[in-house]
Amino acid sequence: MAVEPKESTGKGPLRIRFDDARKVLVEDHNEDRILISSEDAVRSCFTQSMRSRIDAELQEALLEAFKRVVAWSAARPQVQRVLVSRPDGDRMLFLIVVAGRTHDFSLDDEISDLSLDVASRLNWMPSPVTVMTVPAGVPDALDSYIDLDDAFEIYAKPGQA
Amino acid sequence: MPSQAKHKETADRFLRLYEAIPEEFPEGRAIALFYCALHLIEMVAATENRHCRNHFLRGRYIRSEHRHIWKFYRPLQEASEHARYLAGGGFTMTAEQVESVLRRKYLAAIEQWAMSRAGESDSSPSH
Repeated sequence: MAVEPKESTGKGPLRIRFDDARKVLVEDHNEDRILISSEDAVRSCFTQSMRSRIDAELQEALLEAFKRVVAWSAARPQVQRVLVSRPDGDRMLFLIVVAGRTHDFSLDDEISDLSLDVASRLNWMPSPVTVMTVPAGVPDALDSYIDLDDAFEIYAKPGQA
Repeated sequence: MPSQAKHKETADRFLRLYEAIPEEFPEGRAIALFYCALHLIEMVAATENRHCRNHFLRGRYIRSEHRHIWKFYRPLQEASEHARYLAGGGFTMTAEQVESVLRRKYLAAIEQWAMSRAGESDSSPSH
């Protein structure tokens, strides 16, 4: 079984070709080792590289969705706060807290448009994305949907925080 | 998969339930309207040999296949969720608002669209 020496003296990159007949010994900082074929090593590296790229793209999409909701909220004086949570560990909930004690029907169409936009930005998520309003003046409205300790606020109207 | 006719029958039953619930329970009326809308959506889906087995898939179906209906369906769904989960008087729509907005505006739009899609405009829910 041929492996690369443990201490590499070269300064250039280690090259592993998928068709190299030798096995590859990979060692982490705990000196845990994995011995795999060159082909598997190459496949693992490419998978990891692709996963990192996808993760970065998904994070970017999530950030863009947040920015969209924040910009939308900042343009509407009725919106007091926006909280994001995954209340049941599955769906992602954007909870838009609207001023007043009763439901504001005037925002219905705009919220629908916003939710279409957010859902389309996040349509890669395997779980539901919901955009919902609650009146600020209804006691316990937020607690009815989310655990405030687990939610994070992405927008607060100046003076509301 | 339930048939188009079964979904229409269920939608009609929820509309009758809506009318049977006293106005002092607007939250119950909102829930009935939402489930009426849900079955109208499923009725259309059935004409396409489709069935959405949960709210997530149904939402995705509407947004992707019948996007213009979303603005009528979403507020009904939200009202229904508020009716079920906002405790202690948290549901703040009045019976008049439920009737004039949820039923006469949102549900009526879905009804009209669904009947047109299903080619059954002559047998729309008559309540």
